[in-house]
Amino acid sequence: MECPSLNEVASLSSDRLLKVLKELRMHPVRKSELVVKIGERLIAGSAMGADKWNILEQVAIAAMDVLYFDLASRCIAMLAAKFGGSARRVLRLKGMLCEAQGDYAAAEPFYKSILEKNPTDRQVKWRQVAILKAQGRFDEAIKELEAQMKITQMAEEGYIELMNLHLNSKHPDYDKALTNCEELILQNPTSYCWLMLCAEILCTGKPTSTNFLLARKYYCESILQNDGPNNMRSFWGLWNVCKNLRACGASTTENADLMKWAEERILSTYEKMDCPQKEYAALLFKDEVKK
Amino acid sequence: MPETYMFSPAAYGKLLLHAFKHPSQAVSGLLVGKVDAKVLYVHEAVPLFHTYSQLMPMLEVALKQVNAIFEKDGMFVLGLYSSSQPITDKATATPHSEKIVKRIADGSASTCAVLVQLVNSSFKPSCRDIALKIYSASDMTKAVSGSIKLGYLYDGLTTEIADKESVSERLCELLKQQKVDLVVDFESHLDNVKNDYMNPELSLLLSEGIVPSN
Repeated sequence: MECPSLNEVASLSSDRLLKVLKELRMHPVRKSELVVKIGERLIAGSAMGADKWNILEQVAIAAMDVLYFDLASRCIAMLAAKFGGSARRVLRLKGMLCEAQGDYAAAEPFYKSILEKNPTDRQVKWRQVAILKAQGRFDEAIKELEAQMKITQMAEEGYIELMNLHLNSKHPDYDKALTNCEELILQNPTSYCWLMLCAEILCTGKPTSTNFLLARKYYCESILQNDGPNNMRSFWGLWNVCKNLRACGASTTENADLMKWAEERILSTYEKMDCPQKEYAALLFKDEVKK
Repeated sequence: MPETYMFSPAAYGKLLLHAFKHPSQAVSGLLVGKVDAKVLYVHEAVPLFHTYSQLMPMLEVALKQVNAIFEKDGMFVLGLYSSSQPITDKATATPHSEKIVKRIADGSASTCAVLVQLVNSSFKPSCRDIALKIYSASDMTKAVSGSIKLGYLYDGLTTEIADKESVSERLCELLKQQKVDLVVDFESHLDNVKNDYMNPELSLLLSEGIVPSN
């Protein structure tokens, strides 16, 4: 989505700014500096309109992200004045403010009190996982999140986070990362991103020809879903995996044809879009032919 | 093992700006330059990833492309820079970055490859030190003891920059002007191949007027 730059905020109308904040609530992208700048202007001008309370919550979280703890506290105080200091979402924000300041011990009681009355509150359970992650306790975070995912199986963000945790852990578990990525494909079968990511996880784990062959299938499927210039990652990935297959002795005519096809598509896109690195792509392909 | 690790202002600035552009994520990129017995000189930093930096395929492609780009200048990829996600990270080598650095060492002209880890907690306007820890491929359990400097390589000789504060001041200026948005990494290049991951405009902005001492 198109967002104004920070410098443009001062010159835009309140209506436009309200629309930007609404878009960012509906299609979350992490633009905390922008939300804070817009929020400060709207709060100062009392121009938040009907969405005032949602905006205050949004600005509070963005303010915590950029360490504007005063602004976050002010927003939380306004929400507490309206909904009460023990309202569920207010308590969650109070917990998050403690987290943002690095005081995890102070955050935990807020979350525990919410879960006592609402044991299935997923967002709060995720905050508990976030605390473990922030402290570098990846293995515990994985265990906690996996236990939660057994209960709420349709949560896309949960699978994304689990995949990241498995990849970032001291002993990365590529099989589990792959399983989580495959769940994401099940939920979004036409998404070229998860198909491409599955291929990348396969190529990163054990470098066997079986894995490379499966990765090649995922890359091809990703390109079938999106063969546009914004999926260059899959074209390069296909070229790279065909090269790896050739190097581990699993060379076939089909493999050679796919590799050549990927090269042609990459070069033609680079030419069409006048890519600054187009001559180097051609060099790489020539080098591979010599081998 | 070199005694001195020298970064050009453009290289040092770019790797910091890459981390600043993605404050909530781990970032990584390649370091390009030359090395001899005394000095490891990093001429250029090529930003690579701000998501999924643990995955190998695009790293392999980027390594080949970047080596091809710098071959004519007699330079090669000599390491990886990395900034972990947590701000309190202790800036040690992770198993993944070890794997990549050893891969770079295997494939390069010299076996001296390094991991440059950003010390996240040192990134404050008040801190003017060079906030990096360097690990060598031969022993990634402890940081190297050589000195880290900012400077240039001319005719086989390295010279430090005249004013050591100038690079931090330039970085603060660029951050205030929102120039951090100019940083393009290999990942954004793959989304739109018009984006130039060599960041020539940034190189100029980072080194203009920052001169070596005599």
